[in-house]
Amino acid sequence: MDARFERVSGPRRLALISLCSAMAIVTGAAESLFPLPFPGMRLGIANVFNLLALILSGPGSSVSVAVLRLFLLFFLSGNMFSLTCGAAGLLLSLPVTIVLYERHNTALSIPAISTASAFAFNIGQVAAAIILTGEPAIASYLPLLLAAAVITGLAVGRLAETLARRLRYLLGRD
Amino acid sequence: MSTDTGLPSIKRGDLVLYSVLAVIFLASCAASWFLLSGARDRSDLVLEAVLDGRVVESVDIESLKRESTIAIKAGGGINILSVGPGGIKMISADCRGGDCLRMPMIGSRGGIIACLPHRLIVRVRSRGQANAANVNAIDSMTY
Repeated sequence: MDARFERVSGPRRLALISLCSAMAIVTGAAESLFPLPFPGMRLGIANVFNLLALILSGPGSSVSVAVLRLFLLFFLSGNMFSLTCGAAGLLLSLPVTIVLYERHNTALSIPAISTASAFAFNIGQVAAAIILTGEPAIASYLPLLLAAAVITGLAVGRLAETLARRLRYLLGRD
Repeated sequence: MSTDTGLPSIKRGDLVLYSVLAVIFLASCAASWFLLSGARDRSDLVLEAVLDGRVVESVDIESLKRESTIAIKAGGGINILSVGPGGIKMISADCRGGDCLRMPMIGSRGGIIACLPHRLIVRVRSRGQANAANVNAIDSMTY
């Protein structure tokens, strides 16, 4: 049995992408106001909306939301470094998330997929930081980020799943 | 159609995925242990400031008997390090994020403070490691 949700298309899809992008940008900007004990560590609530777009309307929508968020947040913050690291993180995490959800949806729960996605994002981000600075010792920071990714990944996955169930009725019914 | 039971959903493949993630996590722990070890003997430690991949400042940790500050011009701004017997900490930086100010103090066990907007890395490592890295840097410059 395919456990996937019914997918929205057409104008509803456009509305969903816009809604998810807007929410991702707002939560992303709000998140940067919370100083976390370790730099580079993020709550990642904005990822809920990537995942939500993937669940409700497919890989294309998810990529749209991720790319829109990345660039619009860059226009807001002007932080070139976080743009590069974020792009590298997405380059790794989007394919992982999409392949896991599209191909292995029946075997994997959404929180598990989300955790794998958070892992991939952090690995991509750290790889970009190492390449940009030429300092491999930055990798020693990875265990800390990955430990945090387990918690945020599970929370994000759970939240996206719940939102998908509730929003399905708003978006999918006439 | 699945119903919202309020319980965390677990599927049969999850355990496999979590195992893979655990292996990745352990591998990253091993890699970081490997990167941070080797700098244990305090008499052999050097503090290095690396700007854009080049060592711009190198100080013997042994020589740091009392608190002092080092100012480093980096990426169009200035970073100020507090160095002393207790350890090394970034105390001032005019970069956007200020993340380096929140990084934990580094010292006798090796470690790294990064100011990414200024592309500045401050690290503690053993002289042997530092020399080996410099030799590599020269090699990589020649081709």
